[in-house]
Amino acid sequence: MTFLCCEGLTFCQPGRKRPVLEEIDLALEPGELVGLLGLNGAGKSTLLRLLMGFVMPTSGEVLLEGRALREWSASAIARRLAYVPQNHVASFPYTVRRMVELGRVPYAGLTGRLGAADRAAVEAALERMGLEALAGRPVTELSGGERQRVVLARAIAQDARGLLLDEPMTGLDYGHQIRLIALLHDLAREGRLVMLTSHRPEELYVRASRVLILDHGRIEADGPPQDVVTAQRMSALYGVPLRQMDHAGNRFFHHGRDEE
Amino acid sequence: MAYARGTAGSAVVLPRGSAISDRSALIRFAALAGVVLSVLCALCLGRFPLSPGRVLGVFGSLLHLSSASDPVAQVVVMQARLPRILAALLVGSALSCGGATYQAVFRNPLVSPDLLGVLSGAAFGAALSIVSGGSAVVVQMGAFGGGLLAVGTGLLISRTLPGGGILTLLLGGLIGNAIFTALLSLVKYLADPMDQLPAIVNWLLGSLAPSGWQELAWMSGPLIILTVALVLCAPVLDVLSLGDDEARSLGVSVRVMRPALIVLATLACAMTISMAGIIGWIGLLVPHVARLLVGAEHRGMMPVTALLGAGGLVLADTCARSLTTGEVPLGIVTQLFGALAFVLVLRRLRRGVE
Repeated sequence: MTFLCCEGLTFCQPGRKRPVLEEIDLALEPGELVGLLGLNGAGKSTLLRLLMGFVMPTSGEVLLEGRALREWSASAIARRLAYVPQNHVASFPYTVRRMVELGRVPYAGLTGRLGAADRAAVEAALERMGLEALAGRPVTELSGGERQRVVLARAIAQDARGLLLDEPMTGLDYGHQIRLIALLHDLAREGRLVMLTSHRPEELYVRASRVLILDHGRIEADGPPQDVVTAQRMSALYGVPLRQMDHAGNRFFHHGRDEE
Repeated sequence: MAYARGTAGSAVVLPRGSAISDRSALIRFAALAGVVLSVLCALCLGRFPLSPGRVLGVFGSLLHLSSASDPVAQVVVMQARLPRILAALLVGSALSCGGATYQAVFRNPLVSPDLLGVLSGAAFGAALSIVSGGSAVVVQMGAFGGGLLAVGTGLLISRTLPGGGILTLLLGGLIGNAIFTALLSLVKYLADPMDQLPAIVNWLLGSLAPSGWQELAWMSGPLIILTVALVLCAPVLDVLSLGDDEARSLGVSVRVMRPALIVLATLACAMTISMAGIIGWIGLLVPHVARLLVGAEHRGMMPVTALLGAGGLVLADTCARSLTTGEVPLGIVTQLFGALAFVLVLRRLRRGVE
């Protein structure tokens, strides 16, 4: 049984004629690190939000463990799918630890006290994201990158089999970008489904097990990064002439103008 | 594999567990002691100052602990001051908890409970009742009904707007607010300028002066229930204040929880308005002070908010009736002191941001 899949997924903004997403079929399995490429406004975030059940599709269906998403309770979904939004706005100065503890709400309930297992999961998530030293700090005092790591730690504490991230690299410095994609790689190898939207094909080439291209509301390409992250496809997608250079298992792109 | 090392910077490591909860328990105890002290002060101070001994003597004889009788003190304490103080305790805690709930639900710490129009609606309802010659009870019911009507109108309007989420709620509230402010102006314009208009203005200023035992008897139950419910819902607020998608991803149904909490908080605020008129700034200021004392986590800050609001309003009301030989309307006192105190709170807050 497929862990997370969608069939004929179509989504129209109310009042718009052209659908944002059209007839999307996907099957996603634990262990995969799926990168989703696409232009700004291509519908990447919408696809993630549909898969999470935040919005309902105009037609088509999302299936989680073989059952329609709308039949699941919100907390049962939350025990299976975790989500890292593109922008996390910190309105109130919760401590970093409290923020990560909220990842246990799907297990402990809203008013329930955290048990020993919950506390252990929180500690492990804090340690994994290197946040132990910041645990007592208010999130409002953190930098954008640190806050992003806090939200990620919360998703890890949530201990879900699926982890969907919307442009998680945004706002991270270069070192943290590299650490993040390595961490996501590890999480996938531990048997989780990790799916992220990204504007960095080169990083996906190295770490992703599968890359999707979303263009004009459809999945234009779906396959291993060697086949999808190519100069030809990237040139067509982004509308700039690109050339590729393979070196030691990496693939780099550069602007092809000079050679023409 | 650990994610990162050497990124801690100059963070201060706070000890977990016992130290933090000890501090929060201490603050809770201090706040409770402050409430008791402010009540004692309020019983002693006023136009007929009483010594603490005489006040305690009244309670002593009531409980048949002493046989000495002090009829003057007994009338002052039991008929004039105690019901009013109890009303201040109830109104203060309900308004503060309502304010904290509004702030969390709207993800904005600068929101006050009148965001969705409960104040303008209540003012309209009260003014209409005054103009139509209603008794004090009718004015109270008019205020309560008007407050709910205005918020209901705002919520209904927001339903008709496309999109959903907080922005449409705010827009609906804005429109509802505007409608009922205009209606209030209309009633004021049509009111008899000799007696009705002053009565409306006076009511709008807010006061606990008319609070008596009878009113307390039927208002206290619902107010206590609503305030306790808001305090019990505190852990929900942590999740709701994250944003719709994030709250959903943690398994919390925003579409159910947010309206439910708005209704609870609005009911509490509408009741306080019908009891005491418009008492500004308590609902905005007190949650900030509580957050500064015990942190933002709502489970910890909500009980402190209730206590601080109760004690703060008792003190403000004591000022209102003892500063001058007459009585300064309570709404003016809270507005003035609240705004000044907010300067101090904001200075502390901004320092945290930078």
